[in-house]
Parts: sequence; C-alpha cells; structure tokens
Amino acid sequence: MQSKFLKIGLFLSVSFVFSCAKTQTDVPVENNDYKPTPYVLQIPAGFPEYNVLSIANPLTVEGIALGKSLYSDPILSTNGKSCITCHQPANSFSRPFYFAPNGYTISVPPHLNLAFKKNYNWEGSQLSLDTLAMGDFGPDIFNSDSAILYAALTSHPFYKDAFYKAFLIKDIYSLSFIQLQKKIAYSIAQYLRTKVSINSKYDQLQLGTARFTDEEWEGYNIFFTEKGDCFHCHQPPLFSDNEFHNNGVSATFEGFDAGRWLITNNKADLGKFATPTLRNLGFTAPYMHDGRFKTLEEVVEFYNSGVNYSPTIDPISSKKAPHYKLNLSTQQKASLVAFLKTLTDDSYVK
Amino acid sequence: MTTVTEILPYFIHLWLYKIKGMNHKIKYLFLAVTFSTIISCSKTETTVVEPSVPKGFLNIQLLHEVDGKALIYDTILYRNKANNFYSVSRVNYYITNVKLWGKNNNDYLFDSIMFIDASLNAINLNLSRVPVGNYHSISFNIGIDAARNIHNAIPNNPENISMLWPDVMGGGYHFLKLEGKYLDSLNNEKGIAIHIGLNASLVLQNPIIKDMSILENKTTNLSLAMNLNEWFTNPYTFDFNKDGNYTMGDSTAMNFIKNNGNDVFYAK
Repeated sequence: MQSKFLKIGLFLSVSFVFSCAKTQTDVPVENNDYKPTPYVLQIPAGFPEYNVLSIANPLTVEGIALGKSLYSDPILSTNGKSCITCHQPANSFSRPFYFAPNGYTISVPPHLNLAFKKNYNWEGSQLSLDTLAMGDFGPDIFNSDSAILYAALTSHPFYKDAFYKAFLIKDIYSLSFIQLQKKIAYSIAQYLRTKVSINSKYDQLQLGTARFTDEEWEGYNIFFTEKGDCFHCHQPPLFSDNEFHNNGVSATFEGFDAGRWLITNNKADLGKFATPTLRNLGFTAPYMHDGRFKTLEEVVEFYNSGVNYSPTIDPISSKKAPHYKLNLSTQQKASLVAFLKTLTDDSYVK
Repeated sequence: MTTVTEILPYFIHLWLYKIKGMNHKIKYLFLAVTFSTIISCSKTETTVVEPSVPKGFLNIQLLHEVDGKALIYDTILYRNKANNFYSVSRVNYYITNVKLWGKNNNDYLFDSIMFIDASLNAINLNLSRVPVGNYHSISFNIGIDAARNIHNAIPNNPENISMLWPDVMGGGYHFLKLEGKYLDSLNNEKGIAIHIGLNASLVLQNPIIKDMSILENKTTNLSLAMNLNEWFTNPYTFDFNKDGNYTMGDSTAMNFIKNNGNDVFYAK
C-alpha cells in the first residue's frame, strides 16, 4: 500500500517536474522577434532614483526571475554557498557577521532599497549595483569553477533557457567566464532592484494607516530634532544620506576600522563609513560596521554617553566636544529605541 | 516663462486665506469668480505663444573662497572676524529664482531650484533661452521660496537627499549647510554646523555686476564667488564661542547668519 502511494507520488512528482520544465523551456528560441518583457519598478514617493535605471542592464521580468533564482542557488559556488548565505532573508537579507580572510569582522549590510543607493558596502567599494555580485565568484566566497558552472547551468531545467529569456543568450558557452559572471551579476542586480521595503509602521503612519504610541512619538521627536540629532545622517525616506561619516565609533583606525580610507587613501576619510539605512534594523543586529553593539539599546547608549574623538570625526558628531553626548534620560533612551523599531518592515522578511 | 502650474500654489494659498470668515453666499460667489478666473487664466496661458524674442545663453560660474583664496577643505586654515579659527568640510545650498534685471524693463526670471555642492570641481549654472538684451544686475535666493519649501516638494536625488528639514522643526529643506570644525576657547576642536532653513531665513543675493549683454545664440559668462567669511561678518560679528557652533533650532543664530549672508556673493 505504502509502495503504491510512493509510486503514485513519484509519478505525480515527475509529471509535475516535467510540466514545470515544459513551461520553463517554452522559449521561442527560434523566434527572432522574441524580446524580454520590460519591467517598470514602482518607486515609492520621495525615494531618489539613482541606481533604478541601467541602460546596460534594463529591468525585465525574465531577468528578475533569473536573478531571484540565482540569488538563493548554490549552483554558483563549489562550496554550497549562495547569496543568501550572507544575506539571510530572516535578517532582512543581512548576516550578523562575516569573518573575511584578511581578518576583518564585518556586519553584513542588508539588501533592501539598493536601487536607491549611491554606493555599496560599508567603505563604498562598489559604485554599481549591476556589478555588485561580481566580487563573489572568487575563492573567498563562492570559489566558483568555470567548467562546473557552465555544465551545471546548461544542464539545469530552468537555467539552460533562462539566459536566453533574460538576455537573448542562446549558448552560454559563447560567453567568456567573466562575461558569464557579468550576466549573472546583472540578473541578481535586477532582482535586487525590486527588493523595496516600504511597509514599516513609520511608513504606515505617513499613509495614515497606523498610529504611534506616546513613547514612539517621544522617540520620533528626539530623532528628528537636535535633541538626538539622528536625522542629519539618517534622513528619511531611506534613513540614510548616502554619504560617508566618522560617527565617533572608534578613536583609532586599525584594519577595517579605517573605512573609506581603504578605498581613497585620503586621510580625511579615515574612519568614515557609508551611513547604513535604519530601515529594518530590528532584523539586522548587531550594529556598526563590525557589529560591536549587540542591541539597539547599546547603540543609543553609545551616542548617549559620548562618542570618540578623532581628527576626522563628523562635525555633527562633535558639536559638543570633546565628547558629544546626548544626555538622554532612561525614558528618553527607551523612547528612541521604540521609534527606531517602527522602522521595521515585517512583511519584507516573510 | 512662468506657467500656470508654477503660480497656481500662490493663488490657492491666497484663495484659502481670502475665504476664511466669509458668509456662505459670498463664499460661493467668490468661489465661482475665482474658478472662472483660473479657467480663463489657464486658457490664456495655453494659447499664448512665447514671443519670438531671440535667445542667448548665460553661464554663471560659482566659486567658493575665503577672503579671496580658493576654498581648501578639512584643514583649520581660516579665521573669521570674531577670531575663531575654523575649517570647512561641507558647503551645500540651494539657489532659486535667478533674475536678470533688464535695462529696458526686459527682466528675465529663471525659475528653477538648483542644488549646489561646493566641493565639485566646476559649478556652472547654464541658463539657456535668455532673451537677447542688456542687463544691469542679477538677483537670486539662497534657499527655497515658501511655496516650495515643503517636504517632498522637490524630487530627492542622492545629492540633495540630506537637505530635508524635519517637519517637527518646521519642515521644508535646509537652505544652507556649512560644516567644519573650529578651535574653541580651550583649544578643543569642535564641530560647526551652520545650517539655515525655514521661510524666514531665505537669503536674497544681489551682487553688483557690470552691465552685460546677451547675444543671440552666444554664451555670456559671469563668475560669482561666495566668500564664506561673509556669513560671519557684517552686520553681525558671529562668534562660535558666544553665538553657538550650530544653528539649527536656534532662530536667533539663524537670523544672524541670514542677515550676514545677504552679501556673501560678489562678481569676480
């Protein structure tokens, strides 16, 4: 009896796979009129259009589908890793720590609202979303093998036609390995452009569909006035100003703490990092570039007790030198945390 | 050319103000007349053909300096009238309502909002379609007029996204961000954040220029320089130790800066 059910189950599964495969492979390969389907990204009000449009890599339904599949597929690696290894959905597509081979400890930035950013990674090492994933094929992350990857993609029921559907590439073997990596990165960039988070309680408040508690309002007022002075760097709607600042988290700069200087070698950039978005920070602990603070309460206490002076500290963080302190009461600190939690979009991680 | 859509907010504001307190009959009559007028204005606007006045170009080069020397960032090199030694790390501001004053009543308004980041190598405001003629002066605002100084009235881009002025502090946009460091009376290095915003802080500029001519299809060049020390001088000697090293939320300090700022630009 059990065997009979297993056979039926197997038959249905295989039928399903074949039916799916047929759908997936229903590509008008011989049809010269075929073009990928353009996709128009809906841009939330007030969001800056920066990396939304790419002439080299226009958004298409098929490109997004390919990128979405590759994002979570270890097919790209020889070690079982995929993008979601470091960009875990439950953490708003971030990860608490990444221990880089060079010894740096990095709190992995979340993947959300990337279409509206000016640069990527804490130190701004990447300017283009289109090629952001290009750095992942090396031995430190995917350790990709060209022969294995070509073979795996061409024999895969979805991917073997997906590159034609997305990019009109009939034979991926016609691409060099770098060209193939680029197309993969392009498709992942297309998918990431569609990852928009705009459904936090704060957003709902703007739409009039949610109400703040008294504590959240108090936190809002601290955040958006000189009392807390958070807004100068964490400007809505992104809750980031897309710039680099030394917020006083370190007094000296060893290793990754050097921040933007690692890219520019300009001493004025020592200790500066890209302002992280505060959206979804309920899912992105720990905090700061190296994840030194485990909780939001610790972050608020850091600003409250006084930041570290260094020559490149931001003017906003050093207005009340030598140690810029917020001097908030216990209740005010709790209120600020309560407001920060309203920036969390639960629907984004489901 | 100023269009109906540009001036409509002013009319709506005025209309809302006017109908306050009217009795119902007068209110409906006023409403009917107002909308008839608007419709007729719209019609007039849409049928008006721009006079075929020959046009030329004006290129305004913006320079940033301190007492005649080109601005150098991030080094405490400068001294203001109050003997505060300071550095500059950021100069961002908006320029609006550039107006050329004609010698024959041929004034020309370039109705655009321009975000300026002084750290860029070359800053040129290119005004196209300027009517040919002779002009004796230029005026513009540092800041944004009240009708457009409203949250999200201007499209955000990565450059100007840090200019929002929180609603809880009055809303709109920062008109000016001048940031850097200074040495306080104990020789501590402190941040300075000279920010102005809110409608009362609009800074009118009317730098003295030589008469200039706009010729058909030709570009006329004009260089204007902002002397940063003027923000802290004349009529009020602004002292970071006494008057504060940050101004946001301090209407007195913002007013000093606003009044000092009326002559920050001069023609080179």
